[in-house]
Amino acid sequence: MSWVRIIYCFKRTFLFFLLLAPLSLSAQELPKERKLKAAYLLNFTKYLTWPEGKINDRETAFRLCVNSDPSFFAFMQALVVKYNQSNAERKIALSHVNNATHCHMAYLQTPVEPFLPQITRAVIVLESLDVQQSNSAIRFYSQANKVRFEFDLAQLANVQVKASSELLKLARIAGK
Amino acid sequence: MQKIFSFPFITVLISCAVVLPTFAQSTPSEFAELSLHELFETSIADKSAINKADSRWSLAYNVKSAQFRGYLDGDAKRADSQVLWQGQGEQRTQQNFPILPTVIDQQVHVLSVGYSVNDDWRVHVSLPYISQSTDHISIVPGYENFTIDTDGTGDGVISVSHRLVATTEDVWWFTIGTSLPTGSIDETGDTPRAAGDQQLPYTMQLGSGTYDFPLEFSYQSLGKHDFSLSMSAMVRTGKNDRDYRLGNSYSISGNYNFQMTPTLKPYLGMAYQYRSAIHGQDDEIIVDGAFVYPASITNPHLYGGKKLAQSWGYVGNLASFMPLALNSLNLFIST
Repeated sequence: MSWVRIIYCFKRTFLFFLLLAPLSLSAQELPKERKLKAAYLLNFTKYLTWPEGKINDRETAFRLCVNSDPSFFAFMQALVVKYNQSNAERKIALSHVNNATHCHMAYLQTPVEPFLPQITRAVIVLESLDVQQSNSAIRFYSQANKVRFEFDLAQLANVQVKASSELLKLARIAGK
Repeated sequence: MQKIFSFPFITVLISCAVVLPTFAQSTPSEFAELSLHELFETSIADKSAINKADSRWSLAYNVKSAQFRGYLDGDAKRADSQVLWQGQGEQRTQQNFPILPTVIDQQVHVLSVGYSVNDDWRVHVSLPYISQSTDHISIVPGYENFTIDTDGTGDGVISVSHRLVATTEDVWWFTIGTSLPTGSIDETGDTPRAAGDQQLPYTMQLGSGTYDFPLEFSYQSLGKHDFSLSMSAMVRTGKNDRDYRLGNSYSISGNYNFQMTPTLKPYLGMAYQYRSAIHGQDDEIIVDGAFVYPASITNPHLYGGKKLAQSWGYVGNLASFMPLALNSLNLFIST
């Protein structure tokens, strides 16, 4: 079969798939900055240590709660799927803050009621310094086109969570 | 009459996939693999550095090698000598033939390019290159043993995959595509039918000659022990220039693999396939007389049937060894 024939066939079919293009583009791409923040959350779970018994009492899953728009939640969900594939011994269970019974870590794009029982013992991570939320332990910010984060060590101590020295080396410490 | 057909003796599939470095944004799985220090060094607006997280394009190369030999009459094996018509002195029936393919070797190289439009939509284009040969025995003088070879591009496929559901425990995908008639259905070779080159039977052609529609619905559970299930179909339409259409096929397959080491996953699979017979007939490959099919592979009614295949192999993750993002190398063997 000649290459002319092959090109003809592909051209004919290309028109069909053009019709599908608007459908596939309807899902908005998450900005890279927010994708990086989602990936940071996965890494935080590796470099933070929760007190003995807080995670393994009744289940092995680490509870990550998110209060965000659907596009961030969907991306976070995809990251967790991938993470759980290669970390079978300690899986992450993702849920919306409002749907969770308890959270080990809560990521907030927008503020929530500060005394929600499910987050009172959680490490609260804020999407940016603009989010007005009390009791936050980690806050993202941007500097020189890179995602950075600051730690509130007092708040971390309040929830009895320890950060590794490797993580602290990269963090800005609030109040210093 | 039961169908007499050649069955697959062994199939070997080797595949490798490469993620192409690009400057666009990336897929979730690539972000999930970034370490803390890689994240710390990644720029929000980085358009110049090649980053392993910045890949929407993927390139995959598969080699599938299969050998078919032996004959089945229903479930019973039949020796080649029982299927070869011995000439005058033996009764000619619909179940013996003066020309008999004994071994069919096929090798298919498939090059696929994939593009992730976003997390939920992927587009793939693939084009196979097929190389095949068939050994024959016959009672025709001068053609007691002969081999016919064909090779060239097969039918290209354009497909779109949509992720229906993704949870932390499982993921569901639906794929629909179009198979294009880019493979030749006019391959010729020297057969005992006449002197010189003649039109070859269906098995020696490289394409279907029709626009067809592959569909797949797949489920994958995630974790240390992965299980996947897929239902697929190839729906063929119309008739080609030679007035036939290959049969539709429907299959269901299940695979299981587990993470033995960080870079190696053993794999076990089982597949059941039903394929319908060829519709229509290529009149150029039949002969005059009471028995118009000189070989089993020229009879369109003997194609199709049910097939159960088991496979095993290894899925290897080479990312840690290959600097240029060669992601995986897989080896599957099925019988």
